[in-house]
Amino acid sequence: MTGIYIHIPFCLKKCDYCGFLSFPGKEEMMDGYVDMLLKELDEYQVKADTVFFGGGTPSLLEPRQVKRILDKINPTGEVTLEANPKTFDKPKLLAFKDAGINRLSIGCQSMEDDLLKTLGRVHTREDFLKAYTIAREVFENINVDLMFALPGQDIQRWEKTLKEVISLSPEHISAYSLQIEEGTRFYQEYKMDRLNVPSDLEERRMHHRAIEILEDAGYSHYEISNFARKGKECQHNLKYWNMEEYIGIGLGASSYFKSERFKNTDDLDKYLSGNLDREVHINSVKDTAGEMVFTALRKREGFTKERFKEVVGQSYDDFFRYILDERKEYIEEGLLVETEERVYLTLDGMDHSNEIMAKFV
Amino acid sequence: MDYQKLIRNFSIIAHIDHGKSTLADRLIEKTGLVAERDMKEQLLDNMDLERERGITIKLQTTRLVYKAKDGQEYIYNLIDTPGHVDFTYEVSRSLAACEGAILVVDSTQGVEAQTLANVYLAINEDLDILPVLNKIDLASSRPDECKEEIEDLIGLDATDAPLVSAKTGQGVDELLERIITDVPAPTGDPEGKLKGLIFDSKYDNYLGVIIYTRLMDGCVKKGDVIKMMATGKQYEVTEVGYCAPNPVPTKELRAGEVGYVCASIKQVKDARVGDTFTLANDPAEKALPGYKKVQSMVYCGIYPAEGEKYESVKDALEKLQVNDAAFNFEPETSQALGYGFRCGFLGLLHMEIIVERLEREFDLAVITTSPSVTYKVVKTDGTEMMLQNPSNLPSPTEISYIMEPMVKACIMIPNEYVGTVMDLCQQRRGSMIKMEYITPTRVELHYDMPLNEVIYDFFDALKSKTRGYGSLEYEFDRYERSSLVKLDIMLNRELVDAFSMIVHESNAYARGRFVCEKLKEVIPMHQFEVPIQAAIGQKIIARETVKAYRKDVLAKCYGGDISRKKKLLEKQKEGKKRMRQFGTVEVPQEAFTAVLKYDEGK
Repeated sequence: MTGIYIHIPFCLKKCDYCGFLSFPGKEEMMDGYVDMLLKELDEYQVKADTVFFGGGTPSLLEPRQVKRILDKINPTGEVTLEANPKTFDKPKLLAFKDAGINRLSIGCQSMEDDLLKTLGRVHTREDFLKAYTIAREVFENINVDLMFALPGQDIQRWEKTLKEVISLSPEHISAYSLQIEEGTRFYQEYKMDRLNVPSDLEERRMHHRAIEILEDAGYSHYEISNFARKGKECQHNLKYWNMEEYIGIGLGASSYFKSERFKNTDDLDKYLSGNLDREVHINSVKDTAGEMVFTALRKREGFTKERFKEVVGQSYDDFFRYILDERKEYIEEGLLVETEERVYLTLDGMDHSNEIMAKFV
Repeated sequence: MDYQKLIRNFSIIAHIDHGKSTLADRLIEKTGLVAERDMKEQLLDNMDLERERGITIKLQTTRLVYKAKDGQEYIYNLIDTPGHVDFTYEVSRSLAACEGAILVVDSTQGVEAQTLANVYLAINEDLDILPVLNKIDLASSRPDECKEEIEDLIGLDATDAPLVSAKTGQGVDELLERIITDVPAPTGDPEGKLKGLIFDSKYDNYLGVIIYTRLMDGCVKKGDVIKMMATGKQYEVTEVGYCAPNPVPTKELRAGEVGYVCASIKQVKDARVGDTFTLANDPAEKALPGYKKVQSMVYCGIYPAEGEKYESVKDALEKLQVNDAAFNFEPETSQALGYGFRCGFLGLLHMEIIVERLEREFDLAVITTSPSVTYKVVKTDGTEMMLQNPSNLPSPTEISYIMEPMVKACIMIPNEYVGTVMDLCQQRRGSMIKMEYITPTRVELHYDMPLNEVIYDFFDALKSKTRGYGSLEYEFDRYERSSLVKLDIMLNRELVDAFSMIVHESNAYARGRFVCEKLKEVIPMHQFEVPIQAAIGQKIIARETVKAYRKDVLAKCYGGDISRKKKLLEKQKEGKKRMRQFGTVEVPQEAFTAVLKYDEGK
């Protein structure tokens, strides 16, 4: 079964850290955009289980637009919609649910107003609490997105946000570290040393603290940045980490389909005119092997050597013999574990995951 | 001589943007030289670069035929002049070819710095000056005030100055008549011994070097053998003619006329601006006054940027040199940049122009290193070396002392800026020789200054501090012993020789800090921290750090965009590799020029 990612590049206001494809003030284009999404879907004759509406701010869509899309896909599994707390009320959520949405992912980011302001978010703590209450009344599966290592944030403040969110008891919590993306206001500020973000060391401490607190509260740390109650892991995102097929539709959306990776144009006008101008990359065995490893290592359980062979067609040990020395070093350092069946990163290994993953690509 | 009565040789002088080129276009159009539909704007500025920057770099000259109200046909030789301090000498030579100058003043702006600098050059050449007020079609035009300014500041009677609009053509007919009455006809003896002033030369693929000349005495025709009086070299004339503005051959050129001469000359440096040519078998006794050998004042390295071939850069430099007597180059190597060239220029603008022409006309990407002047290094063993590339400076133990070139600088400014400019000159190690009030509001400052202080950004600083009213001229004077040190820049602890510069001990700290700060702004983030250090010898005097990308281990891998993450990982791997291989960081091209730019705040 395939997963479908649907990119919605519309938002109320661009956040100061946001490097994703998203534009404020273009809502009048949404109908035309949805038409294009449907046209793109025509290309594929696939059965989908999971669907994920990401953005941008997908909750800016009107429920009838979501319904048009989902009626066409008719998914059988988890259907997530990302939502900004300022963009919905209860009737709208009910209508989303009616259209087929069964999982809501709310962008909270922080429970402190000054940090929200720093990020350039349009909502406040109060907005989030109200939104969450409504969401709880409608949906049984909710994710709350949080961010840490924010300018001016320390570990105590981060704990406070975490604990408050835990007390609301969402099924799933994502905790991403703030990424400084080129082309954002944060990038320039950071480079010029004017963005007071916690050091890498502090960032790691915040991450470790999050794992401790969330695991204590009964959330399993199943992926570097994701935590879930048992059975509530995000089925759609797991496809990315398991080298399963997925189709991305919409502006700039990426797909991995029939051993090809491709990505739609980033140009909204081009996209709306029906020109997808795709960048296509046919994976070599080396590509696939590298991707298999670095995506799966994001999960706590890593991957089985059996799965590796299934995906790549060669055994893990043979394929990565050429970096045997490096692997051994990581194993000795206690960062990487390789057993007969399985390969995974330790918690310490996750702190160095980019460096280790880079060895495999 | 009768034919001379119908000739007028003149230049147009003006401040930048006061409409010189537009007025020239209008004169050309009105005299019917070029059909209106063929008019490209600013016909005389024929390089793209000139048109874009709105400045004249190379001279253009053109002959117009004007049918006057008195029924006679007059020949107007319009000689265009470049307008920048680097080219002052060229301006003075083209003015020397004229009897008069039209002084264009923007009637909405009044008299400005460049106006004065050029007026004084014209007065030095004994030209008659005809002031003209331009842009009178604009609502903000205030011709009467401008006339007063011209009288007060320059001391010219502007009562009858023609009011024109070069844009609309208004008043241009009157101006054409006034040229007859206000610009004297040339004199000179066509029977005398040949004296031709070379006021410009350029290379043409078909004709070889074309000499632009004003004949002071005598005649020249095809078949004559001419001699360059500065070099003694002889050439047989293959063609003479006038420019309209393309070359039109004629039988001969006579005293008082302006035109061109071709004589199978291969390089422009053999027909130097300011030189006099005469007949080889009947030479004049004395050359015309004012010849100066043009010397490169500023040197920098030019290197092919990544992916660019050494040979293509060499070919392009050779082509530029053929056409530019003041530009020269020779091969050199840099540890950081590989094989390249050390190039000599008149000044920074000249350098920028050459670099831009490489980029535009030849479509080449090049890297330029910090500019330098030529130092004289006296070694402990008593030998001397001339040093143009700071990274070739011998080790301190081998150096007895270093001498640097000093210039006589003449700065003209409105009196309200005297204090500011004196501060600036002092910062740049200048010592004042004298201060003169030319008019009650206009001051000329004479300074003795090290050339290396002038070349970096002095002119920009002067313009900025005087709101564009300051003008600068300088002339090499002598070498003088000085406390100079080599300032090295290290990126990630590796010396990048292309950034090395020689500075005065007293400025080293400030310069070091400035360069580090500038580099921090332009060098992008890497996967690792990049320390930027300035050092004198082993001593670090300034440091900045370009922060590393955050490790982003915990970052979101959005919407299944695996390729993006993969690229990031690959970059992380490569970044390290590149470090090891080249021992350097990625430095954008702009970094090499950014460290030279004047910054008001610093």
